Amino acid sequence: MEVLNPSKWVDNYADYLYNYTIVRVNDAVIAQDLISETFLAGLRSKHNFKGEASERTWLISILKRKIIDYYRKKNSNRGKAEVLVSYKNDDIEGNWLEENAADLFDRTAEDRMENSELGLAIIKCLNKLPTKQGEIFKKKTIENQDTDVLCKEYNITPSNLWVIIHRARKNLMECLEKNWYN
Amino acid sequence: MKLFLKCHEAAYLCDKNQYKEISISEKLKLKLHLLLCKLCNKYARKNQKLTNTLKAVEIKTLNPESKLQLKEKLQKELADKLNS
Repeated sequence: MEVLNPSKWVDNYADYLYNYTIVRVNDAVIAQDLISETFLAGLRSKHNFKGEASERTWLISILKRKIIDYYRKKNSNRGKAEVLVSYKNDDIEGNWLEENAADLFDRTAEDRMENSELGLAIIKCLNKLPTKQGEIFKKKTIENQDTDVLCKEYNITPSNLWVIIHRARKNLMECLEKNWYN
Repeated sequence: MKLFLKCHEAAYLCDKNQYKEISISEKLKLKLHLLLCKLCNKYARKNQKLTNTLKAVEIKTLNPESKLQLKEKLQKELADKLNS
């Protein structure tokens, strides 16, 4: 059975929740607020956690409600329900119907969603790496930090660094192979 | 370095190559090894796939300061809970 471990929440789930939120609200500040609210709500309703789902799934279920609340509030501030169809630019004359119909075949939104799911799968895999290995890999690969800078920061030699990167990459390949490509 | 690499040397260069941190002569030696070695070739392809995937999805990480802030908030809430 799963137990909650709030002191580890930020390290274990902040990036995951952040990536989940950012594609849905499209605003870094709001995403951070929602995550912070989610963690606090999680603490307050700790007793509701029954250990059936994983900690992450449970936090995501809280976050989902926070995101819905956010949109509700936003719409009620505006005093009307959100209109989902956008008519793009009113000034442009012509076939708005066809333009909008063409959107059905526009895969960018769908692609973005699929990409974000892949992103979440990658973060899940990254979180499974040993702490230091994951940290160094993230800094090197996602934040594009210099080899020299990283070596100094962790007080390791470049060949140490590349061994760590090698292990991290192998672990990730395996993890993604198992959880995504199949 | 000699012309023919051992597999672990090839793997090392292959990883460095994902970050564009190898010289031209190293690249040539790597290419030569990959022509000759099936296993390393497979690893190189997987490695490239991982690089492409990571580039395509643009993973965002929350910056360290925000994480610290979040941690402090949580800590405070936890302490308040204990005291109440």
